[in-house]
Formats: sequence, C-alpha cells, structure tokens
Amino acid sequence: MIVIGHFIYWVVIFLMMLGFYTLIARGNLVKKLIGLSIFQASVFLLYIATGKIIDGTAPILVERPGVVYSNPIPHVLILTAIVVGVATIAVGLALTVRIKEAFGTIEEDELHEKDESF
Amino acid sequence: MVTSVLASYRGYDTLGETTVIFTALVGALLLLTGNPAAWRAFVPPRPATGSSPPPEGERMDDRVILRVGAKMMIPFILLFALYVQFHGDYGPGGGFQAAVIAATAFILYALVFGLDAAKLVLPPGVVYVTAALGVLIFAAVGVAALLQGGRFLEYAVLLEGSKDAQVAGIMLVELGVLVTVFGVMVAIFYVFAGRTRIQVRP
Repeated sequence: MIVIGHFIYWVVIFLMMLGFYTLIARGNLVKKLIGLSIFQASVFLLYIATGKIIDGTAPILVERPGVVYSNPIPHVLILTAIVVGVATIAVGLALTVRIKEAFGTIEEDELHEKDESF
Repeated sequence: MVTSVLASYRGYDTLGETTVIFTALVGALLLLTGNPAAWRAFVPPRPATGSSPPPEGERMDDRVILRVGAKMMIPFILLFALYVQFHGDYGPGGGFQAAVIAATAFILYALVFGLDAAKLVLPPGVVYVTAALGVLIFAAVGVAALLQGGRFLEYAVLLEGSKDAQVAGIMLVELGVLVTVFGVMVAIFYVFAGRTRIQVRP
C-alpha cells in the first residue's frame, strides 16, 4: 500500500535519478542538457502532484458544504520554474553551439584533450 | 485562476521571471551572434553558402500538403493562443502559455515556408523590440501604480473601481508577458535556425 500510495514519488525519484545520472555520467554536452531537462521535469512533477488534491476544485469560493480546494500556489511556482528551465536550456544550447564552433567537438573528454586548462 | 495568482499575488516574482527569460534571450544572442557588426545591424550572421536555395524538390514549400495544411492550421493556432490568453482569468491559461502557442504558429510558418519568408513577415529587429517591450509594459504598470499613490504592482489604485482596476492590471501585465515570451521564443528560434552551417575553426 505504501508503494502504490506514493506512486508519484517513485516516478519523481526515478526521473530525478535518471536525469542526474545522465548529467554526471555522459560526456556529450547535449546529452547532459537533456539530463538536466529530465531532472527539472521531475521537480515540476513533484510540485504539481502535491498541489493537486483528489476531488479538489479550482480555488474559487463556492457556497457548498464540504467543498475541497486545490492549492494553486505550487502550480504557479512551477509555471515560473518551467519558464526559467526553458531559459536555462536555451542559454545552455547556445553555449554548446559556441563550444562546437570553437573546439569542433562537444564530447567532454575530447575537450579536455584540446584544452588542458579545464 | 493560476494566472490571477501569478499576476497579482506573485507579481514581483513574475516580473522577475519575464526579466529572466529576456536575459536568457540576451545571453543567447550575445553567444550566437558574436560578430559585433552583425549584432548592431540586428541580423544574425548567415554564412554565404547557407543562403543558397536547396535543389528543386527538396524545398519544404514545394510540398502542397504541408503548405496547405500549415495555412489552414496557423489561424486556428493563433486564435487558440488568444483564447488561452484571455481565458487565463477564469480557467487554465495565461500569458506564458498563450505566447508559446502563438510562437508555435509562427515557427510552423517558418518551418514550412522557410526562414527567409518568416523574416519578411516578422523582421528580427521587430522581434527584439517586441521582447523588450513586454518587460517594459509589465514594469510600467508597476510604476503607474506607484505614481497613483499605491505600492509597486498594486493594481487596485489604477482605476476608479478597485475590482475593475485589478482585472485591467492583470490584463495589461499578461499582455506584457505575452509580448515578451512571444518575442523571446521567436528570437531564439531565429538565432538557432539562422546558423545553417557550423564553421569549425581549424
């Protein structure tokens, strides 16, 4: 029951570790960015899932007894986070394009060979 | 609903967020248009070999189904973007989502009819001005509230009726968000798509 009841947390943990592993284990910069993106998505899911209450409605006052409202704040927070994530990925990809132009490769170990100062 | 919270309760945060996305655009532009002369002319550098048209039959705009399909879909995508924009006060929707949907319509146009045709419709200079204008609208609403004697981004003092003023303020702020995010999305598409061929320094 604990496993099923916390299903969303297992999904989040799986996605988070998947993204984290990709981020640290892959040498390709584009794959690193994809890992970062998956990591971000897991955090979004965590917040959105906790903001939603079963049978909860939009938080607009209604004259009915026993009505349950969902909390909009986590959703708003994550809207912000999604936008910031898009901005991060855009700048990261732009950096990758520049690195490809300057060094001719986006593999990390090849970059180390070309520039010892890293 | 989320939009109302975003624009009112978390107004400062959203202003910062629009600034972040605008800064991301500036960063991407600085990185990808390294040539200062080209940057001043507001045109991303295009290698001479990249601008020659591809051989006949390989160009996207020769494909009738794609062309007609895109022409049919683009107005509806834009209409849906406007719906999402103005429905944000009552249900799911808002400036960010609407702007991304509108940008999708435009990027579809650019994909099917070519980047050059898209740049004729919406020149890069206009896009950059658009991206900056949205942040300016957002900040101007905040300053207008200050001048009316309220706090920064306090919409209630903007008009006579406090409720109308709230609605109007959120509407204006969302317009700013729409304009900025649309501009940023299209501009980022331009700078990435404008680099048709990567020149590797030997």
